Amino acid sequence: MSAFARVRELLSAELRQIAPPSVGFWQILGGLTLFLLFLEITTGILLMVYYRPSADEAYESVFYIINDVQLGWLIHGMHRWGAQLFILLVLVHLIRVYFAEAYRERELNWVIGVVLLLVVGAFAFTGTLLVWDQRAFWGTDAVRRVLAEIPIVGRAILYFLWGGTELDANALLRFYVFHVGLLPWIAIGLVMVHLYLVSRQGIFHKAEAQEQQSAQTYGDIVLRGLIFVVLSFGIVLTLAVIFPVELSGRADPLTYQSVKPPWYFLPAYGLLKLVPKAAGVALASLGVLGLFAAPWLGRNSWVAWGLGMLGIATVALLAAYGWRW
Amino acid sequence: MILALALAELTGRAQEQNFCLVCHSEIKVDYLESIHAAFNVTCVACHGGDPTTLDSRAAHALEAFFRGTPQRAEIPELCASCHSDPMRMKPYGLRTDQYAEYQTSRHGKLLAQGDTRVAVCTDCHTAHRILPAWEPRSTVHFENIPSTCARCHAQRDQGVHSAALAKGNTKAPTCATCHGAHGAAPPGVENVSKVCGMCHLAERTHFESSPHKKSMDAQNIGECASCHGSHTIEPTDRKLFDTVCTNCHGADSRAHLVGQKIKTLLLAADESLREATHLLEQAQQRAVDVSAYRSRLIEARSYFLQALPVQHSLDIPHIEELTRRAKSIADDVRGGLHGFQGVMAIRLLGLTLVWVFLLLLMIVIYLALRERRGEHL
Repeated sequence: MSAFARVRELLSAELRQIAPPSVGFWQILGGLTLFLLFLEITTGILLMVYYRPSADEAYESVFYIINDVQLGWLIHGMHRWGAQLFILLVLVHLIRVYFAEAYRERELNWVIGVVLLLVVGAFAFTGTLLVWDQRAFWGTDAVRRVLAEIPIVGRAILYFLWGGTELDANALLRFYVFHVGLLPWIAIGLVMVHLYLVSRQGIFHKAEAQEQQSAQTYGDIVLRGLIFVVLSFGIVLTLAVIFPVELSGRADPLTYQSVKPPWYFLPAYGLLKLVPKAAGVALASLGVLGLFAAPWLGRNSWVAWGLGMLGIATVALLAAYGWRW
Repeated sequence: MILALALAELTGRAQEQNFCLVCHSEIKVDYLESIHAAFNVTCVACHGGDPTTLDSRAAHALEAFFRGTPQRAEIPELCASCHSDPMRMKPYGLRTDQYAEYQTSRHGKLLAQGDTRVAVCTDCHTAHRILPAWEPRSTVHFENIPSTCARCHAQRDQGVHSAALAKGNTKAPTCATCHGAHGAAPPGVENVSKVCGMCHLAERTHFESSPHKKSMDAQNIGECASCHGSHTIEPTDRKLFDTVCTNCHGADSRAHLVGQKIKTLLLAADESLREATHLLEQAQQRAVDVSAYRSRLIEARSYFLQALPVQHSLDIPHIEELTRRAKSIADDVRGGLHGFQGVMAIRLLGLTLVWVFLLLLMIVIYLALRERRGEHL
């Protein structure tokens, strides 16, 4: 039997397996994020063909992509909007897993999931600067100012991420290297481990659901997921066409511009507005640590639910405060 | 011994022996910051005396050629004793004609007539804190020249030139650009266009071919300054045609009509260009391909920029030709860019077609799903 036929047989055997009856729309979210990661990588590679990661040429190359490259505006728009949807779906997936208590007996996969969330945040943060327009420059510089105020480790972090204490061509090149050379490999590696653990441990379902007679196979779930893949592709495409990306002028280090962060960084922004910067960074780090430790903190269902609601309310209030101010 | 002397020079021993600063400590900081201190030109070079003794009487003795504070009238000659000497100035790459220029200046001429209220070297360069002109703290650094001159002259520039200078434009003219530095003098009426023309070369060329040139010189009217002003030059505005032409010409005169005609031509081209630029920016923001329009607009703008200096010639056919070209290209661009709504319509049509395909795809997948489930059921 040829290798191809063997793989095909294995795959079809896998797809013919009976899936738990409780697997529905919410379980497809994780798969959708995988599709969006694929979309981001594809559009990102296309953008790399024309992008130039130097302070002299970055903005001009993005301008060229948007205005002169055939369908460049669409690819760039899909990359931007795809990233927004990607982050949204990752967050919804995380919240779904948390409230379904799907992390039980799957603590390692939860931790990997949280690391993936941080990687997605890093993707968004490093990608924003690459445009090298006024919004990107001053938005990133605001983060630099926050990091510079962290005692002891602040400067070390700046030297590692920015390549110095100022936001300049070094930082742009580093962000580019992180965005296209390092983070994709980390993300792909983590996703593979994440998926391997899902397949090894099975999709989480409540014990009582196991008793029921299931009428669906994994093949059905994949087909159903494909419908949502097509739908989400259409949504990203529509957003890119109707709301194309607008640039805010070439980055000018001498002309300050006040910039609000994108929606996914608003809670952190609100926190930093509310408390001194070093304390804000400490509290945000504590929040992330809490997220890592969620499976152990929420051993009791009621405690888990209470902590989850408290976390969501805090994040929502901080985001609202950040948006307002 | 040579080594010891060289070391003494390098380590500034000459300054250490300048004991004048022990008693005259009030000028110590100013002097030590100056270019003279940096090159070991000590107090004795200007004031005489013996700087090596702490005995006040011996230091200020006439035998030691003590001169004290030089009289104002003596200062230019005193400075020139070094600064006009090519042998002394050569190592520093400094020019030596400042004193000669000063003597031809308004300041120099009045000083020669015995008027000691005029500016001498120390008024502009200071007496002790003399810094090179490239040093931003220097009183003669280009950014500080207006305030240095304003210490005596009330006619401080408050127009476009000083505004540009305040913004850090290093090409912006200062008082010295028009009046000269060491040879400072007000430009004569017939020379105003030459002075302005040092920077505004095209305007000067066209002005000199205009009927204005001859009649203004004949009537002793200050060329450029008569319309634009001298020290309060406003940004150029087409409104000037309404306000300044009537200073000399009657409101119903033919000359006034010529002015109004030029104004109308320029305004029409300018408005068309502004509208086209606005539309281009809008289209760019919506990621419409505007590369072809961008180069056309640059061409239109270049015709308009050519027309601006030509207006000083009052040559209506020439101005008309340039503004017509600028306007017609800008109008073409406007027309083309107005059609970018058409581009959006095409994009939406494309999007609709993609959605039709995606919906069909979803239906096919759904049917396949039902078929599969039917097999299992």
